[in-house]
Amino acid sequence: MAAYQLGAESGLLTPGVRALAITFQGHHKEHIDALAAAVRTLGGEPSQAKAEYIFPVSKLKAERDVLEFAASLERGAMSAYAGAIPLFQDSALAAAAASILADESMHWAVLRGALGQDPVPGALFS
Amino acid sequence: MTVSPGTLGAVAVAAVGAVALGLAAIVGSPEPAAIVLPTAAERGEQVYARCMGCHSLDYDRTGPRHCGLVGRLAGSVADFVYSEEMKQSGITWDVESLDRFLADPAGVVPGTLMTYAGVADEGERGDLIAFLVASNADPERCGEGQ
Repeated sequence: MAAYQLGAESGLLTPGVRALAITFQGHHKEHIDALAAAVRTLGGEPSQAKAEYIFPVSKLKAERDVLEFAASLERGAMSAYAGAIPLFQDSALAAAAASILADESMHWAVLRGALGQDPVPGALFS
Repeated sequence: MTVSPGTLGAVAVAAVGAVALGLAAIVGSPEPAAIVLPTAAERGEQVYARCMGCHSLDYDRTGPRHCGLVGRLAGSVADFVYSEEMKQSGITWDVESLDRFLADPAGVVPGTLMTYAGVADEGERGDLIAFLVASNADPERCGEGQ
């Protein structure tokens, strides 16, 4: 969420890419809502967003830098979910996380495409 | 395209020509091109891409920064919020402790906030640790103040 906000407000993005960033940010808002609902269903209290996030702002000097940064986050998020799902004992939580993993994978592929890279550079990612 | 004997002949001539050119290139080449294999740290950088949803080398994110990791007491990055279990683990991060932890984070530190099953493949784990060690020693990646 915060990273896409940074990108959208950077002034570095062309209109098409900025629209993409805002769309993806909307997806992440939906992910937060879905995970928060799942945590509440399990009797927990969702953690709050940090008051501040640190990003490598000084390294983001062009649209490509923003796209590469976003792609690295999406790639990492994909693995974070792939690594977390095996630990979930609740199948509803695992299902929510798997759905989010699918979104992160699509985001990564689209961002790689925007960078002129092979959108799907392999199989069996973890 | 209509295939005729003439067309096939032209294809055959082109193919023979291509092979001949290829042989000439090989015969004319003084030295075969050296094959440069990636180092463990270079391979490990690819594995580290999995960590970047939560971690960064030089700043704290959902997980703590990795610059300064080697030789650091677990749970000791200033102002980062760790689980009590991680803070009390007594682990100092080195090649051996990283290998144990990354193989099974929740098994080694039950209660860790790192909700990640781990890097099961021993080779990938070794490459990842090689990348972390190399990055920690690299002033470009982990300079003073990082």
